[in-house]
Amino acid sequence: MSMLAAAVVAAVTAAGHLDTTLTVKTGARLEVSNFSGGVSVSTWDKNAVRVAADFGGRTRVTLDPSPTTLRVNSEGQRGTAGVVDYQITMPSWMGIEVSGPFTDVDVVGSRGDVKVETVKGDVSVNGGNGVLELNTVQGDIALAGSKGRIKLNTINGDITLAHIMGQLTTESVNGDQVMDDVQLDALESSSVSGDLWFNGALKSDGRYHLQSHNGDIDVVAPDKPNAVISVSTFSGEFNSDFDVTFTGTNGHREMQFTLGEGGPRLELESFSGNIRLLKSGAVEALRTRLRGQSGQPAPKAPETPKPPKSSKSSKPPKAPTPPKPPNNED
Amino acid sequence: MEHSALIALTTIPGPESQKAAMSADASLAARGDVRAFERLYREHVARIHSLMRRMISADEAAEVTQDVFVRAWEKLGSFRGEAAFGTWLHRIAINVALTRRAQLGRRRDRMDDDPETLEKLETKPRHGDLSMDFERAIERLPDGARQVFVLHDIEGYTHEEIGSLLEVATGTSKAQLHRARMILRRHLGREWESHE
Amino acid sequence: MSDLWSDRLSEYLDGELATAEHAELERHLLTCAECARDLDALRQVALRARALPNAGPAADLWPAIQRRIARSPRRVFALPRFELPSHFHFTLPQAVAAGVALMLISGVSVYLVLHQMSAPLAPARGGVSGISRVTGPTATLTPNVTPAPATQPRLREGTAPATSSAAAVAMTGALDDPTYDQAIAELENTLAAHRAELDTSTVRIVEQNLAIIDRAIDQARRALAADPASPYLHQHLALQMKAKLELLRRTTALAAAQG
Repeated sequence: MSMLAAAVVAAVTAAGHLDTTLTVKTGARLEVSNFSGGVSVSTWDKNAVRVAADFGGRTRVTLDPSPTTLRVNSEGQRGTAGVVDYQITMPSWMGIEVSGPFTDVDVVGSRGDVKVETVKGDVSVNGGNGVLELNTVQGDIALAGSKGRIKLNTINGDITLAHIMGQLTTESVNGDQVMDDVQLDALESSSVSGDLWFNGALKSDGRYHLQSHNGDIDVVAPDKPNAVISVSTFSGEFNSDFDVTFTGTNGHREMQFTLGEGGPRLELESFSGNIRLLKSGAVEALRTRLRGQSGQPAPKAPETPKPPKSSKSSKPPKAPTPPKPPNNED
Repeated sequence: MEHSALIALTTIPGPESQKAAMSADASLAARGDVRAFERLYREHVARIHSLMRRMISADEAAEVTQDVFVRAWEKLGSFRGEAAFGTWLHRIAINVALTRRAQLGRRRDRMDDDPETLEKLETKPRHGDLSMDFERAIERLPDGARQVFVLHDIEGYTHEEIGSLLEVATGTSKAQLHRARMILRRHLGREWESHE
Repeated sequence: MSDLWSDRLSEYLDGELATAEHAELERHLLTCAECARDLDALRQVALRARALPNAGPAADLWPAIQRRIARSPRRVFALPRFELPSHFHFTLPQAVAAGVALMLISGVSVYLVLHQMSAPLAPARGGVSGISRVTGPTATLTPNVTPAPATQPRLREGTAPATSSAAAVAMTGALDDPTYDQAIAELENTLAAHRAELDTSTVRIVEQNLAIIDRAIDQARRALAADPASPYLHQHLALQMKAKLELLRRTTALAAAQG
């Protein structure tokens, strides 16, 4: 840890700029707390943390190193802190936790844990290895090139993922979720009214559960897929690019079938949205559509971290489609 | 997050009278009478909406006006008639507007005080409705100048009060007001020709 | 073009110059046509500002406001100390087998966790405040709610359903209990008390999303009423109810943290 024994306080009474670097020992963590503004984190090979910040008047930035954790805080001298924009460079092994209600966060190049908690802020992480937990209420989440135990939660924003490995849990109420090029051991993906789109490898002992109330679910399968699939819906439709023979149905809108040799378990449930099993040609169409929406490419491997962002500060809620009258065709 | 500076205000000049008696409707609404609250809404919405439009933007004014009334309903339980209802409501509106401004402050381009922005403002008033042109000119003022102009010249706050609300020095408030007025004078109407 | 005095014209107009400066500027105005003209313009601007008409919004906002305040209870009441009804039990092994866990939070609220996998979902995420932390013992309860055989789904061909039907039925039976309603009511009450601490756009977003979930719950309930034996519908309803609890819990934690 740095030579500083006590908190380093940068007290500024007018708009200012801070730029300071502290050495850290392997294993230390970084915690950043910022009320409003941006936290932009990148990495380097040095065992040091550089904190640069731009801030307005009546705000101060404190750096508080403890043996295990470096804490960076924005504080208002009177009431809430003003806007602070941080540019932080940390060792790539360092675990980081960022929190703050009105803060956008982006982290590039991490090979450690990443946790973010915000209310009205977008979160973008490129990298990360270990425990990744990203939470926002109104913002979008974009994640690429990550590996580990990953939990993402947004209420009203979209989740966009690419090149992910490990175990993934994603939750949204009104946001769509795109999972592209993922290799997961397990997946729990749920939304209330957001659409779910999945294109990834299915491991032979893997379990992949996608469920929504009125969102559509699209799953892209490889050309010769192996999977045990169950589909449940109340009033939605199920369409498959592959020939399916139902191996079981319980008379209550659940259908099962097996593709190829079986193996991975895929559970797709949407109460009133449509469920589709697609061939891999669908992937390019989606990527083109995502590019069109944002003017930027869908997330790629770590070198190009820009996530597709739809700029909606208050996304109109997707009206649930009224359920069709129950039929008894099953 | 409530803007704590607002609580310090004790006097608010303006067209509303300073009488402390609670109107009957405010009293009823505080006890949960929705119809009474609707009457209050109809009485005050134009003023609140105009304030929101001028302090934030035309696009968001309707939405934020809703927020103000919903917030007022929630807080009515604690309204004791220490000021006229309109005054009390107005404080809430200012508070909501400033809090929103603080949140949006992270979008740096909104706080643009760059001189080039001023050049982009029209120098010739358009024909047509002169007061609309003036309102639009207010909306296009740089953020700091606009907030001060709305609070001082339209809403009637003093520079001391504005300094407290916006957390700026009184001198800054005066300078911003002057700047706003100097820009806006080009939009007074056809009888005032542009000298640029 | 400006001179030393032109920047002070607004202060002069508003009567904010000290006596001596005021007098000096007044003398200056006698000789400086440009300043005199500027002063006149500034006066016109200030007058125009005072006279600006107020205009309401194009659409009537009252219906939307009314809807929102209807959802926002201003009642304050003391909830009776929460006690699990004596008939409401699960054995722990059954609960784990069913993938259902009931956890007591601070001894008062019930946080319902539904999970289909053999490993239960992690409980309430550590949020920005302590409200989500689980304190108190995990309940060990014994069910005597057993679904009648008639409600077991019958497969046309022998493949086990993805969901555990017995547990789903038992659980949604439990969810119709005052248990769940009480947990929701307590959270809504706490949220109402702290709602003013949240910024207004977050409140609006949360309300919109609660409305989305409520619609989903309503639709799921009606579907289940028409087809009460469907394990999928039981589980789906339970998931939507859990989503509502989770959203309320998280928002309450946020509000309390920002207070």
